[in-house]
Amino acid sequence: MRKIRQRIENKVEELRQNMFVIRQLVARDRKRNLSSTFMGELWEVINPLINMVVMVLVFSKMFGKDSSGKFPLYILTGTTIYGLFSSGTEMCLDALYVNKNFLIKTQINKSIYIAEKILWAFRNFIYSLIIYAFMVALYRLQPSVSWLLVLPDIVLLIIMMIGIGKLLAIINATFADISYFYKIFTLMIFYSSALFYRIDILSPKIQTCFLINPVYIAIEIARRCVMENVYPDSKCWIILGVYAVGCYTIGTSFFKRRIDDIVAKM
Amino acid sequence: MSTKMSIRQYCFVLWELTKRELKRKYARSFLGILWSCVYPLMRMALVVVLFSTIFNKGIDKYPAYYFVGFLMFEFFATATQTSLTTLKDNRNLLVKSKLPRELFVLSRVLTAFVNFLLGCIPFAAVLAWYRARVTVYYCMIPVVLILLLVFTTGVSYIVSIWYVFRRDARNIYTNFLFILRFFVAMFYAVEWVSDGVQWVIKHNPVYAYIYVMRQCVIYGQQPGSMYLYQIVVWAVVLLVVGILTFKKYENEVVERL
Repeated sequence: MRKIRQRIENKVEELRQNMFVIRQLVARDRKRNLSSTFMGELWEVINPLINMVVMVLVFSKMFGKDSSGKFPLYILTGTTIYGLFSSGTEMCLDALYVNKNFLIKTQINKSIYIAEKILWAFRNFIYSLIIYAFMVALYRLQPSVSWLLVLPDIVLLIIMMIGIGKLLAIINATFADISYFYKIFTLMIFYSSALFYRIDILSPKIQTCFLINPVYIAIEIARRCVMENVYPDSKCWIILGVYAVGCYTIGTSFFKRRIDDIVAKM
Repeated sequence: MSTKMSIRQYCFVLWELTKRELKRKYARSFLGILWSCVYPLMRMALVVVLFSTIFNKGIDKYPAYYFVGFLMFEFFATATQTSLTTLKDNRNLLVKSKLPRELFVLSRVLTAFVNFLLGCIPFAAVLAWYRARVTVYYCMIPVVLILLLVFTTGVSYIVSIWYVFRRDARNIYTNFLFILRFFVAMFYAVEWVSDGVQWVIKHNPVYAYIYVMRQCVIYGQQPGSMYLYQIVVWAVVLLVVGILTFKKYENEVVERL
């Protein structure tokens, strides 16, 4: 009994320390990004709005006709979630490389550096929700229970992001070319997540191809829950869940296996 | 300028600075500078495959159409964005040496230009694959390129000074470039967007350069005279304004860095 208590106390202590480190790292990132910006955090809020307006302007004539008048919200749902995914995973690319000194000199859990980047992206995501809430209010959408399902949707996406982030950080430490490949990859995700078009305009065969894309699925779930008040079918949940668990296990085991080697080489 | 440099010395320093930038950019990767060729090609292949499925209306010679837009816009964006921070990045060298200060801006522009030229190699392959006819309009290519270079240099001068005085310039400019990217008709045809947006695109200097280049190289047609007029005026105006701004504030920069 005492042993178990001891162990729990240790865990709590470790978690407390980790949170402290994460907070320090976030503060540093924040300083780097915003110290010189007089508008500070306001940017995080304005950015998604600008993106939305631009995309609505450019694509409304091409694709906006059959989206029941909610084209801006349709786009915003997509870009907000895509933004979370791409910024989070892209920042993980140099999570290890940038924290070289920390890695060598300290003994804290190495996956913290990844967690910190994801947390930073999540924080920006929360900011962008301000605009989202504003748009939802503008369209007078009726609140419903289905909105709550967005929560597990985002959680699954983030679990997947952690896995991918770990993978990318490890690969980038020895093979820097990965950043170019990943840029191409995110571009592919950008265009194939149906951010600014409806997939109904495509042939049924291609439509099923979209189900391979986890980001598209996360967006689709959010759209159904918020905009249509519909419960997304289990197929979507299963695919997203499999991606989350799969990426997380692969990423974590790969990370564990390689991290000591990489730190030693630095 | 207190120290007089001969043109040869000037070019030598410029090239050394540029080489340093290029080396730094690709320092950790295996393919190194080859990425300048490979990356645009990969990107084009991806966009062409995706868009031939998403857009059902086609554009004639779409791969080449996209390639020109991408390369030219990317040159403009990279050159100006890296120039923005160049004075701060090279602070030590700037304070301690008597090098003419505009060299730091020019070296960033030149770096982006070298990248651009390397990206043109796979583009030439795409053109050859289409068996694009070599027309008299090919003589226009160097003219357009030089004008684009002049225009970009002018903008780079201005933004490099701007960043010294206003540190949020970087954020603002990054956002501006993001917006601009959608208004140069890179991956769609101008006719597909609404009239208001069309007007904006047609008065966008970067689009004018891209349009003239597309007409000359891909379609072998005479570009509209409005655009020809535009690309000359924009280049001259921006260069003059750029140099004047730079000269005016150049000395204040050192105190502010």
